[in-house]
Formats: sequence, structure tokens, C-alpha cells
Amino acid sequence: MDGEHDLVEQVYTAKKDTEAADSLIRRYMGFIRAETAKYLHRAPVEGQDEELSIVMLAFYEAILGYEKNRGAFLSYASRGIRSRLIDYYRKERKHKKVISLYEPVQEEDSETMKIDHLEHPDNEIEKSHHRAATQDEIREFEKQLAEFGISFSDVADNCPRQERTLQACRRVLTAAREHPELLDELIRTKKIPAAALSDISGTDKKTMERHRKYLVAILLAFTNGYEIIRGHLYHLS
Amino acid sequence: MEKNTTYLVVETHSAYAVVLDSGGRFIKTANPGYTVGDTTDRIVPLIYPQDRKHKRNAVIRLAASLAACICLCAFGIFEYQYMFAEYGNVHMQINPEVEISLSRSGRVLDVEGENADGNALLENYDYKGKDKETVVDELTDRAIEQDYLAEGGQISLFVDARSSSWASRVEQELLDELNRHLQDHDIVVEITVGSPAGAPETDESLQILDEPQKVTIPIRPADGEDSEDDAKADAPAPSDDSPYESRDDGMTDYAEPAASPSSPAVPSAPTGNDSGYDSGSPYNDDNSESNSGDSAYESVGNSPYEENGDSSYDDSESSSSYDDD
Repeated sequence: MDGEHDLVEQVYTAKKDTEAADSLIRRYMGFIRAETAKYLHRAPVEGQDEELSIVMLAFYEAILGYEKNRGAFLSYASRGIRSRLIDYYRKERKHKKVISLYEPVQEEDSETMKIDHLEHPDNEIEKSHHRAATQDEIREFEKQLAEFGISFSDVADNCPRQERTLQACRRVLTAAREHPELLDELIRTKKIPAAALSDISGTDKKTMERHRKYLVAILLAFTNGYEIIRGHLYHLS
Repeated sequence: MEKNTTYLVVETHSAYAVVLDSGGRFIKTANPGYTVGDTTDRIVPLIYPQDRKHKRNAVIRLAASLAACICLCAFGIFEYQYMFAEYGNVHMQINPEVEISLSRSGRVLDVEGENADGNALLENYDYKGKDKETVVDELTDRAIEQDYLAEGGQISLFVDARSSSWASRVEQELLDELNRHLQDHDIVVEITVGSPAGAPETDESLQILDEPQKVTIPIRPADGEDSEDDAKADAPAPSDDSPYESRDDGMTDYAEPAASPSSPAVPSAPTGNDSGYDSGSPYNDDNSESNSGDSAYESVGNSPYEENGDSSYDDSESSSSYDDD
């Protein structure tokens, strides 16, 4: 009984603290593996079985959604995992198109295989350099966000999920890019110039306040120094 | 979500990773072993509990809206029928005859004259939007104004409708209303409700008449003044007097009876003075008509039913109408 009570306490802590959530998930990896094995009918292999990552995500969703009146946490999590895997298998069945790399690119040209069109291994070095640069930039971005007291997890939680709200935030970004002095003001004061941006973009101040963490992140990405990230945001250009 | 969206992994945790998509969204997704800086084009995004609840609520809202629409439609149809569909007719006869079509709510849908006076009474009369009481009162007023109705006159009301209880209720309401209305006018008029003499037959009565009818008419011995008890006591044994004589072979022969004005189905000849008919019977001896000698049930003379109690249907008599042969 005390064990169950402790677990509930840990779950409630993990709802707000990502580190506590990570810690709880690590402690219950045995349960997560056992749940995955029920569906795979074998022990899951980390990094190879996508089902394991789905079950871990479902476990995290269970942490976020759990309430004391919903019974024991582990049975609640088990139900969530089951639903998530059913959804996953259903989606996978839709997109199940397996293509062999050893089939011809064109039917009349039987000599040229698809594998011949894959990137040359020499590019791996270039890719490795690019990845390192990207990681540096992301780390720098993370550090700058931390100055605002924000993590990427916070930003993801604060990101608008409705298309209309997302469009409103994009209008704020467009207004800020047209007025770089407002971006400088953001960096200098560590505060969003809400009044000015609201006037220019026509976005409601309340909407901006509600999605402050997300707006800080996306506005910072368009300040100097984040070329790779900006390059990735090609749909915003 | 735009086409050709790619996702840049910016943060990894044991259970999930945070990715930045090319449209500027930060998304928590399943982490099948990503490292920061990886790019992918397919993710399994985390579903927040509040989004799940929102979706469920949206489904409930949709179902509730549909149910409300269905209820509204059903109510609308009912209300239409209640207010605008014809449910019954009031036939009002003063001398002018008028037919008032009513909805179930009592709203007047149409008013038609059933004779020339009725048409004259309804000339330039606007009944639209009025209830039955108002129309009946106003038509009565018009009848008084046009001298169709005077002191001592008569108003006849008859309501026919699908529901007889509704019809009788409407009749009663109209009767009460007319009484009240005519009291105000200080005029005495006789008001009758119910089916008039010339009223069309209802479906119900027609249905009853359509059914096959069966009437059983008991036929009794039509002779003498003897009581029924005497008749029973004096009745000859069936083997002797019955026209339906039984034989040893178990078959009963029905001999052709002699021509008789009475029913040929007379089962046996009565004896003596006994009669199934009372003193009021046309076949009674006291009746002058039967005494004339024409009746087959005469006490004397040509009647086959003799007064002395002996049946004229004797086996020995060759003149018997119920001969064994």
C-alpha cells in the first residue's frame, strides 16, 4: 500500500519535472520491457524495436495523464500502452510498403539497382561534420533558452497545437523579422516586446502571453547565429 | 501539416525526444534511439491528455448536437401536425350550414359554406389565425346580424374527428363557449350537439355494417293458448310425430313437407292448445285475422294443428304433409 502511495507521489512529481519523469521511467524499465514483450512475444531489443520506444512514450503519456481517482498507476499505464500499440500497428499497416534495394530503378533497365543510387559512403564524413555543427548550434540555442529559464521540453509543451494559434504566432515572427530592433530588444531585456509585436502583427496579447515560451524560442531562432536551424525552418522562409 | 516536413532532434530523453519540424513546431515524440542533431521525416508524436480529452469532448458535443437536431426535427413535425394539419371538422347548422376545419390545437384552418346560406354567411369573413371559439362566436354574431338566427332559434353543432374523445371535448367546449357568448347577447337559442340527422356515417359505423351479420330467430310452435309446460307434457314421442323419423339404419330422412304458409322448418306438430306465441301473436285465436281461416295456425277448420291435441302429422293419415314415404 505504501509502495503504491509512493509511486503515485513520484508520478505526480514527474508530471511537472522532466528529470523526475526520466528517473521514474528508468526505474520502471522492467515493467516497460515486460509490456512490450507481451506484444512482441519476445524480449525487446533497445534501438532496434520501435515498439519499445512507443511503449516508453505511452508510459510517459500515462504519467502526464494519471489522476489518483483512476485506480492503480501501473494498470492505468498498461491500458494506455495497449491502446497506443494498437494505434501504432494500425498506422503501420497503412504505410507498410517494403521496397527492396536490390530491385531495378526502372523496369527496362534491369542492371541499375536502387542501392547504386544511395549516397556514397564518402559523404558520411561530410554528414558527420554537418551533424557536429548542428549539435553545437542546438547546444548554443539550448544555452540561450536557459537564460530565459526555458528548456526545449517546456517549449514543446507550450507550442500551439491548433493551426489558428500557430498562424497567429507565425504572424508575430514575421513582424519581428521585419523589425530586427524588436529581436534585439528581446535579447537585451529577456522579455518579448509584446505591445509592439501585437500592434504590428495584430495578434492578441493574451495569445502571445499564453505561448510566451514558444515565441521566445522561435524568435531566438531568427536572431543572429543559428543558420542551420533557420535553414531547417524552410517552411517559415 | 505541410508536405515534405522534416524533423530536427533538439533534445532527447529516455522516453521521448523533442524535435523541431520545418514549420517551426516543437514536438515531443517517441525516441527510438535518436541523438541530438539527427533529422527524420517520420515521428510518433506524444498525445497530451488535454488533447485526448478535447477530442473526446468534441465527439460528445457532435453526438449531442445530432441528438438535439433530431429532437428538434421530431418536435417540429409534431408541432406542425398539432398546429397546421387538419384533425377534425365542426359542422355548424343554424340555417346556414358551415363546415369549420380544425387542427388538433383548435386552430381554424378553413371555413366552408355547405349550402347557399352558409356561403352568404361566410362572405368577406376572415378566419385566418383565429381559434375555434372565436370563429364560432363570430359566425353566430353574423347569423344574428343577417337575420338567420333569432330568439328561439336553433344552432346544431357536430364534430367529426379521428379521435372521438377529441370530438366530444371540442363539442363541449364550443357548447360552453356559445352559451357564454349568447348570454352576453341576451338571446335565447337552443343549441344541440352531436350527430345531426343528415350527418355522414363515420368510418366506424360503416365498418360495423360491413361485417357479416347473423340473426337467430327462434321459431316456436304457433298454436293454441296452452302454456309451454303443457306443450312439453303433451308433446308426442319424437319417434311418433317428428317429421325427422329415425330409422334402424341410423339415417334420418327429411320428407318434403306440404305447402304451408309458416316456416317449413317446424320441428314437430304441437298438440292441443299449446302455442309458443303469446296473446299478442298474430297467430293467436283471438286475433281476428287468424280466425278468418287463412292462417295455417287456425284452431279449427283447415289448420293442420288440431285443437284436440292430436297431431295432423299422424303416421296413419295418408294426407300428412310429413309422410314417411
